[in-house]
Amino acid sequence: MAITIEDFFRFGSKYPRLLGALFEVRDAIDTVGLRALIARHVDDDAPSRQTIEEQLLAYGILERAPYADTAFELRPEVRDLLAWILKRQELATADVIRGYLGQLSELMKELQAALDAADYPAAVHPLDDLDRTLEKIRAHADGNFETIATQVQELQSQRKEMTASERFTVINRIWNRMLVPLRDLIDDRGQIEQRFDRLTRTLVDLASGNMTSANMASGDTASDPIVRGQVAPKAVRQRARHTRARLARTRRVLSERHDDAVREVEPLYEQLRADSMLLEGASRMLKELRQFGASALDLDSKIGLEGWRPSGLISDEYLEARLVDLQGYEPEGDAMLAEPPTPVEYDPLGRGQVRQALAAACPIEDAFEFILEQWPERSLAELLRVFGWVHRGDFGPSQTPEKADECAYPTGTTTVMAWPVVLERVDS
Amino acid sequence: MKDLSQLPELERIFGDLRLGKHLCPEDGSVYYLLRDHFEAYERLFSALGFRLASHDRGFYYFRADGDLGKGATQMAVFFFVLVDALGNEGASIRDAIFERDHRIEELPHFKLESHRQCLAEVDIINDEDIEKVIRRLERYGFAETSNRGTFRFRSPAWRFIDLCYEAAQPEDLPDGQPDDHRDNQSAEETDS
Repeated sequence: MAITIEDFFRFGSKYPRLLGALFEVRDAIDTVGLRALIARHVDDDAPSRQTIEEQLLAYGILERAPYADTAFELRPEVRDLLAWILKRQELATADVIRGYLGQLSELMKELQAALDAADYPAAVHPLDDLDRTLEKIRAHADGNFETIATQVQELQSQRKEMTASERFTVINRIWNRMLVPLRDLIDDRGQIEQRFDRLTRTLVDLASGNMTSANMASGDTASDPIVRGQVAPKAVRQRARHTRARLARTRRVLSERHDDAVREVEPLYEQLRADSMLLEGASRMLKELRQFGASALDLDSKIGLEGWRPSGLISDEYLEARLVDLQGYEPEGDAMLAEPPTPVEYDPLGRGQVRQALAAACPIEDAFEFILEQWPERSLAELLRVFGWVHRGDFGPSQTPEKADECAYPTGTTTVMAWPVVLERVDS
Repeated sequence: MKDLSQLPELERIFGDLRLGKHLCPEDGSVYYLLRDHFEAYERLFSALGFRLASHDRGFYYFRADGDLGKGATQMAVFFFVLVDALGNEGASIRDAIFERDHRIEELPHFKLESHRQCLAEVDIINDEDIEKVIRRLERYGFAETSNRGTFRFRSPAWRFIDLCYEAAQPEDLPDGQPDDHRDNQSAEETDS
């Protein structure tokens, strides 16, 4: 069925929420999903779901996915239209703009060739195409800004739904894949400016009736310069003036919209970038802490806190802690036997406790086996952490005998494979 | 000023700084005296063997070689865990750090096993240890506690943020951020 403008917009005005919902569906939607979507987004007095489904297909709003007859997707043309209305156009990357610059170059060559040959009717076609290309560039500039502004607003309003890292990923893509390459193109010495400058000169010459070098050299002696082919006819000159005006507008919009987008994005980009790096740094140090222990981070010297006091004096810290303990102290009478304390929820093995047990058992021929036997009730994660301390030499020199074979250590439902570690002594 | 021993509030300022306290605008007159006579104080303290450092975020402290045992490390790890936990929320991390009153009993430090392991590495095992770290943060001027069971960070906590940025990407710091906020080098390099 051929769709008319009236059909399309009548359908859109009756079911705007449905079209909006279909736009949000990024992948194809199956029949069941489509009918559920229709049910959610049309009024109760609307025709049946099946009728609306058939209209969606008949009007060409939906088409079947290439891989399944029962899956549907928005036609690209409709998606583009909705994207424009909703200010959610696909962002045009610098590569897309570069493609248009290539087209501009080709059209300028064609235009110049027509002028050199004084074939002015032939100049009209490249002028038409130049108009269209310039308008596409302008539309992309507008669309990019609208989309970027929408995305920034969404990022600012989705603080609860997205973590700082996720939001930075989105903004970083906009900044580094869109705005920075576009800025390079737009800059004074960028390709766009160079191309626009050349085109402007050509159009100025054509519109003002300046003679080109080729037709100046033609030696034609007719009195009328138009007849001699040295000046383009008035209609062509006027056409060139229009294209020149269009070029000036595109140039202005491209630059202004880019600046607008940078102003929109930059504060959020800087904020999220700083947050992302802050998070990355903290996570990295915590990871190193787990792998190599606190001493590897060397935080004490990096922070370099002053804690000077004359030798022999009790530190203020100790004194303060003691006073806090003693504050309000009153001797109590005979203490009643207390109820058993509630079990401690988390009581990890401390280094002191581990050191004591190892020292009592040294020399130990297989440290991991010892750890498993010594603390059978502990979680594997905790036992591995203790083994890590021993292996790292935190308590004294440890080594694996040269001829030792890999051993299996069954623990619960897990079997750990490792080479035996010998601990000969525990340093004080 | 010729007689450096006549510097205003010298005893109080020196008393705070030598114990490792960071002085920022919230400390009132001592901070502003230190700021207004920075060079004179710096000269005097340098002669006494102390390095007075100025941070671009607007606070002062004595920079030492660091031999405080586990205290500094505990404070830093406490801070890193907080940042890591806040990263799972949506709010700006720096805003969340500086603009919130942190309720001590609601701190996220022991919620994840990975965080518990990190804290155990520096002997922070339970809530009592957390409270000790917070008291230490307050003593050094990094935080201020209230009697409502909350605390908030003061601007000197930027020193921990600087550590995070350095660890993230030493060669590519955010524009206008920590690179500009580190210790005043001239103060850092003052010969003790």
